[in-house]
Amino acid sequence: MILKNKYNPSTRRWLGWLLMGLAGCVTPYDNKLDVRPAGIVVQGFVSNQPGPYQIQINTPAQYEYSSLSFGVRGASVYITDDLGQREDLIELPTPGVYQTRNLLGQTGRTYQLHIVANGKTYESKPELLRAVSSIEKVYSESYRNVNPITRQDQLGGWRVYIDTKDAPEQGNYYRWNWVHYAQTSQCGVIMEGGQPRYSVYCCTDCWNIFRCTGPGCINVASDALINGNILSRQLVAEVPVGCRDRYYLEVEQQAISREAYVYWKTVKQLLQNTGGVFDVAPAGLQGNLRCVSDPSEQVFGFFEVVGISRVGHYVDRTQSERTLCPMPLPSPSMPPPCLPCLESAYRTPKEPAFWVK
Amino acid sequence: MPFFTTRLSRLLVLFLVSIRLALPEASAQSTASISLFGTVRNATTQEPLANANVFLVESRRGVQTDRKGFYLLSMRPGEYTLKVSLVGYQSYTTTLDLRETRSLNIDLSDDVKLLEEVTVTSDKPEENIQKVEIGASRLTIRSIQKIPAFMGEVDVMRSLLMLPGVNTVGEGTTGINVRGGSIDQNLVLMDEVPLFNTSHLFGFFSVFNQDAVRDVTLQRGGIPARYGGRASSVLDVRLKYPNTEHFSGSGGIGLISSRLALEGPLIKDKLSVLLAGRASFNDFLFRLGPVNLRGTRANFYDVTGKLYWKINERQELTFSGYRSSDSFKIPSDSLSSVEVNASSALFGYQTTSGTLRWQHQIRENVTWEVVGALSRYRASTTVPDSSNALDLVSSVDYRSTKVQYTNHADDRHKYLAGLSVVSYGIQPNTLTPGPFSNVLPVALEAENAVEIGLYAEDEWKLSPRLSVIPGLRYSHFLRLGRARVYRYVPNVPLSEDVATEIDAYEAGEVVQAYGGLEPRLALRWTLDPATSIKVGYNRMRQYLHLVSNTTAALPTARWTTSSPYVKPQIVDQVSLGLFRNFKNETYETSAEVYYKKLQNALDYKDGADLVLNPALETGLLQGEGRAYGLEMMAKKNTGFWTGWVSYTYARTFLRINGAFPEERINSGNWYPANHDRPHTLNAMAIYRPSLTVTVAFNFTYSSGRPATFPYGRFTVFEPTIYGANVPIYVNRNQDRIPDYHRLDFSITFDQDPAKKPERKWRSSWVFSIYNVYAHKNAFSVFYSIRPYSLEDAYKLSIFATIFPSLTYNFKF
Repeated sequence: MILKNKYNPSTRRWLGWLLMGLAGCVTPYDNKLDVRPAGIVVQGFVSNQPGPYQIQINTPAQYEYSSLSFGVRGASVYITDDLGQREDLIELPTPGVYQTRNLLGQTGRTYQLHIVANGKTYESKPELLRAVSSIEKVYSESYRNVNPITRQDQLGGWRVYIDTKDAPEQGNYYRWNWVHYAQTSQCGVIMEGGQPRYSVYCCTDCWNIFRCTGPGCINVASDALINGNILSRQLVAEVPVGCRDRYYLEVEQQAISREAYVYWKTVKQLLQNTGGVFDVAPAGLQGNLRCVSDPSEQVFGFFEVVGISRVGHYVDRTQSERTLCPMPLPSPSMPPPCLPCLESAYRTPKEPAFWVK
Repeated sequence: MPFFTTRLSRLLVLFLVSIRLALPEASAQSTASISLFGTVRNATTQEPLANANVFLVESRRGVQTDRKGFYLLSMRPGEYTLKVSLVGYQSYTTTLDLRETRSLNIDLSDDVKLLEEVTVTSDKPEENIQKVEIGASRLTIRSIQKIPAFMGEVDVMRSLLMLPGVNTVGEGTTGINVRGGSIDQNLVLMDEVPLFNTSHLFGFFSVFNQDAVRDVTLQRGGIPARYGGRASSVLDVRLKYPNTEHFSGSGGIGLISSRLALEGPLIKDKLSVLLAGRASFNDFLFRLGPVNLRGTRANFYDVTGKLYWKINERQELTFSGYRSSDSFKIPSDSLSSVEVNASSALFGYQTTSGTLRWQHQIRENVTWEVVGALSRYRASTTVPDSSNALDLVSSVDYRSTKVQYTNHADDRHKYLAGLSVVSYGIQPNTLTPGPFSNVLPVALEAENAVEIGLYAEDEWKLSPRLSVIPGLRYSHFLRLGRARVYRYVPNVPLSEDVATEIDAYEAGEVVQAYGGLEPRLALRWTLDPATSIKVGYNRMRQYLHLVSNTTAALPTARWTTSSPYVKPQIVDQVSLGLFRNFKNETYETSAEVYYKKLQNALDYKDGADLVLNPALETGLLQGEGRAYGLEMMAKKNTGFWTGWVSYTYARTFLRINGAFPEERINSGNWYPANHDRPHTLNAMAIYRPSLTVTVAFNFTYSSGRPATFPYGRFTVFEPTIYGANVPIYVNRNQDRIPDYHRLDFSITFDQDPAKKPERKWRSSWVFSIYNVYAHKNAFSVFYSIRPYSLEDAYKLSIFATIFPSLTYNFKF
């Protein structure tokens, strides 16, 4: 599995780098791509976890860095299921984003996305919400590495693995993800002379949210090699050395379709492309949407229907031999003022689902 | 198996008999005349000399010796003047009173006078007019050594890139593309045994040792019937015959590798041996490199040996053995930067091969040849850390037996027929975890197959002006059990999840059979002694495929044989050429056009897993291909300046138009193949002002290869990689990377042979510069939006700078 997922592309990439390192070099290349891309990009998902779900409809941008893509406004967007039920999505103020009202995905149901935009009709393939097997076990192990400066062997961090039971039938595809919640008492800083000087307490309990970012976080696998067995020691996260604390994270397992698996695998390849000798030639992303009224128009993106199961886990860092823990800023004089913990993509006052007090 | 061989050998006999019956006049004529035959050899080394002209002055009849130095002439009884000549050797003239068929071996001495006159002749000038084959280029190791070499390593494969019709996807990549064929469509033979990997260090250097190679012939059109199994070309590399007279040695010390070769008689004139070795000691180069490369280890070695036993005047036995090994260790820091959880990884690949060849001349004009060959190619990847320890091993085992019958019936006919039986055993990839490893073991099923080839050809001089070589080959391929073949739901695209059943085949059971005729034709029509027109046609069938979806194939790429789902690749090629020499053969020119049609061309589905896929067919697509081109060459053979200029216009297109949208590429339209480079210009100039100095320049230009550039991009709307910009690729290979051009230079200092002629030790220094004007040639253009850079398009160059090197060569 390891080989199949990441070893080989990385090795290829490494070899590409090696060749460059030997003699080669990478230089910017001025190649104006003048095409004005046509078509639309549709992204979003429905799952068995509570919504609301969001669907984003954009126009693709020209490839150049400065070029922008625009949200498609005023579209009529709705999702139907195999029972003939229909839910219309509401357009949000963010351009091109549409949100469900009370849809909750049911395992075993089939969902289909419909869009009428700019006078054209688009639809996705009907997508089944797959049953997701639960994560049977989460565990973490520390690993060691070599300090690049001192050349000393040292604690490198922790790796988080899961075991899960694969469903007996062939053709199950998985994706894993994690979210780290760190409880915080500081909801703001007071700046002095352009430098953060004092921290401000939160008025309530508050958690900062950290997500895995970057193409390396696209972690997908198929059951081709382990069908029906325990999928064991699947690496899902790496935890860095930090403060001596208990590091809380939620691991998410998704049951996805074969098309979605290929889609994400390709996205990962595209994001990691180094143009090396052993790189796979860039490939087109196969989506699951089409334009009904004009079959020649290309529709990019993917409408995903996923079954999700989550589990919480603490990595015990209290005994770690080294730390990388920032000194907390002092608080201003008594009585301390406080700031509310505002719900956002990066902070929440809601206690995480598997938090143990 | 025995059943097949007996049946086929009966067929062979029938076939031969029918040829004889079909040509009664040829047999009738041969009875009226007598023959003279023998071998032309180098007087000092006793090495057979190919392409020597053997000429009867009175009858104005002549032949050229074949690759084994053999000639056969027929004439009416009488007195004759025999003249034997070959460039670089003193000609030999003798008067013979011929009353009956007899043999005569001729030894030619090196032409020292020629050297004194400082006349350099690179090749046989009239060869291109006289030989019947079209699209064949022969390079002797001497001429290869003159081409400026990258890092001072004389490279057989790279030197072929100077020929028209040969190119590659980029520098530092393994394999060559011949007339639009992919790299696995070349049959690379080293003394009759095919090699499955032709490069050291992932493509930087080729595996042939210059001290052991005698010559190299590349056949790219009108391929003779005796070759088969690959669709595009045949690269026939012949090893030297060991010196049967006295001991000698040669070698060199270079930046990349050092080499030593020894040869000589074990029993004088009877048994002699050649042993050549080469090894790299270039680890220090990595230590000078950037930090993340310092732990890298890259080493290779190869050993080539040849044993020659002259049993008697009519029988000889040769054994050629070859072993090559590469190992490549990648250090941990480099790996951790790309998220491989291993402290290091070790790549290795080895070729081991051997050929045993017995040749028996049972009559003066009849020779039987029996060849047995074994070749084993093994590639492995090893990760040593206990928790992720694994060994990924793949191998190809090749075994073949060939029986060939040659009959120089008279000087108008030379028949050749044979039977070859090849067995393939491919172990695609076996993943073995270490004792404490968490990696799951994977064992892909071994593939077993047999390929039988039955062939006959006749080199037939219809008139002094017209010669043809009609040939016919029948190849039969059997994919054998033990095998498990997936059956899929009909009328849906093949994929792992529509596999319904597995058909199990027992060992030896036939899983799938393919076969068919492969007609071949070469025709030469001489308009005048300096001009000829040639026509070639060939059909080739290929049952063995290299499966790789990377720009350049890795040495660890997977080999597979044809199966119920993977059909054999079939190529039909016609070519037409005009050859003309000027100014008493000082200038040699040629122009060839070709058109090629490829059936069942292989390509890959986007994002397919090919390495550990038990149902490989689900990742493959097959379609059609076409290639056409014009190749022009002008060559100057004599004088202080020699060299050549060649220009090639070549196009290669593929079309994959399956029944389902998933099985189409570019919506089923024609698209240029990865190695479609329309214009190529090569120029090579050698200046030899004195006996001791040789200067060579080499310039190459070619159009950039096709590439896929993004059509647009979109921003990911997904928490994990929120904000990442994903390029949108729509159609494959619709753009091109920048053109490629490069100039190389080399200067060789030899010792003056006139001074101290008694001294045995001769040495030379070669100073070469690769990429003289340090042009940053693009290997690829890739797109990636990086947060710290405002650029979005990048050019990757591999040999982006000037590479000087110095090599010391010696001979004793």
